Amino acid sequence: MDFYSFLYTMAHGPLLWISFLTFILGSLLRIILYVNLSRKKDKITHQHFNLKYVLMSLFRWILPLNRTVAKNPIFTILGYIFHICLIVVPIWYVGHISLWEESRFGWTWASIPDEWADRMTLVFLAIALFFLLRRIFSRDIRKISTLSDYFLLVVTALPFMTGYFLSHATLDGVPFLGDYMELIHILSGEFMLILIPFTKLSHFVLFLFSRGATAIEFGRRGYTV
Amino acid sequence: MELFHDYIRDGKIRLREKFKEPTTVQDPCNVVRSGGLADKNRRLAEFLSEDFRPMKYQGNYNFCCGGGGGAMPMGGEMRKYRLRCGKIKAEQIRDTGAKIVFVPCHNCIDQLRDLSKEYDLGIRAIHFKEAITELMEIPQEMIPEED
Amino acid sequence: MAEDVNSREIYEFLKTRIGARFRTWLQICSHCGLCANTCHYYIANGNEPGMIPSYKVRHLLEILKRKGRVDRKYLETVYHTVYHECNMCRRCTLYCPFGIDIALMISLLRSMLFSQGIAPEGLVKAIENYKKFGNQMAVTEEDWVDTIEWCEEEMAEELLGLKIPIDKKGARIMYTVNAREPMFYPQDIMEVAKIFHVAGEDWTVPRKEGWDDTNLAMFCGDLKTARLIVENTFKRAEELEVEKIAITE
Repeated sequence: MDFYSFLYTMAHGPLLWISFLTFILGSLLRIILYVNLSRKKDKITHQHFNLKYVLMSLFRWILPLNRTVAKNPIFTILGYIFHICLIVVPIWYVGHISLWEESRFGWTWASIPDEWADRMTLVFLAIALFFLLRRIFSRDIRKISTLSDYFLLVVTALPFMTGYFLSHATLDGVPFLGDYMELIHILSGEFMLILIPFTKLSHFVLFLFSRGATAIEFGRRGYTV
Repeated sequence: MELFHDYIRDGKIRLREKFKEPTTVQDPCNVVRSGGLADKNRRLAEFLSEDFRPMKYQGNYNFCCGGGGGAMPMGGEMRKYRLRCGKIKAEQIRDTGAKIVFVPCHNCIDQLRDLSKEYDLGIRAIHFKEAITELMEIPQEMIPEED
Repeated sequence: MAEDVNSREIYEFLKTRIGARFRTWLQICSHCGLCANTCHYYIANGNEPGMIPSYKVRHLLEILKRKGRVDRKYLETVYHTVYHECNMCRRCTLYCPFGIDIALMISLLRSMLFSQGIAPEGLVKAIENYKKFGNQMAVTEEDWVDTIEWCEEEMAEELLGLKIPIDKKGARIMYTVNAREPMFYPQDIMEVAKIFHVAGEDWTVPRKEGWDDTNLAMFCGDLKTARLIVENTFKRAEELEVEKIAITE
């Protein structure tokens, strides 16, 4: 077995397990650590806990019903679209679902049409490119950007880009890239999953807690933020 | 401020008249955003005015006047910075065209009076209590007899 | 003011005070920049990138990364940021998608600076006054009572039967003022007395410390004195068995 087929087997087997488990258990661990620490040090959140304000606040922000959207409509709407594509495409893309079906779990669910997945991927990549350019060229955003901000944006975009190349055989004529696109795609996806719990990408779940805590902070003063 | 609002709402204090000049009201961060009194603050200002003009962002999302967080009592070292950042508040007030600004905060009122001079706003910044004493009806039995 | 910086102390100070919220905020802030145009410092300074709220709290992360090993010069930069570029107004908090409370982090940085003896002179003076006299303007109890009595006399000429009850047990409301009022704005006290009188309110002012409701110690992170100030006021309220405390404006 040569190196690449070894890597291929790994990426389809153990690495897949490792990345999914890291993602799931890591995220769970982050939640447990958050709750644990907040019980000790953020007593104020627990003393004034009020689910009503938490839910109202999450509702306003998960849907674009907040003041920030009104203030910066373009950037925020792009942000919402970016996140919708990010979640929908990997989960409901037919190629992924068939892999789940073939796996030992045998799970399956309805998929989105292929052309949707295509378009959403392109939209996602366009927005990612816009975010990257914004980080580089906007005086403001450049000032507050760190190396990891650039790095994680690329890490997030890579699985989508390679996924598009893979399903359209775009680069099949290119040596190496054409031959190993599937491998690159899988590895990039796994890499992203592994990084989520340990980087700012953990906001996918910690956002709920952070928003919730602030919702309580202002909710005890009688209004929803 | 809350108390004054309730007095007027409940009729414990009656007003002889209301301000005729255009008015607006400052939302002090510690009273409104961190105090939860946005509505009462605005309503009290409306009680006292015939021509109340809200600022853009009136309420919880209003701008800070620049005098908060200890900036006023810091004195000279802070003066330059607070006058500069107060430009936003000055423009907000100018946009309303108000002549009287109610300010339910000692910090804000000193800052707003400074801003009025610095940016030539020509406003009168007053506390609610001053406004109320100016406008309220004094019951007959409390008025001393003139000699 | 202490001349040297105690790194271990800084690190311990921050570490014990950083809860789940702070820790999360420092990590998940995505540097999206939506807080920029919510800040009056940023806008008033010609959209200056250095004044973006998210940028201002970089110090907290930096100090934690360096485990408190920073020099005095660095702390002076922090001082400039947290005092001269922020009013802790929390406007950016409301506009942040994650609800990151920048003002709380600025406040933590101020407390840390205070622990190293770095604080604005104006605030330090007020705190010293408070510790000594029970109010930030160094008004003695005698002067305070004199002022109140003088206000009462002045106002009684305008309104029949007007009283400013001092230390009246069981009143409905205990009224507290900003210590600048007896010093510079006695008319504020008179106006309030007038309103209370006309409204037929059952009120009182306390004689002893607790009548000054300003809490400047809070702004420079002297949490011990800040707590003392609040406790004094509540102690008076309990002694006088009042229902409510009203603060000036």
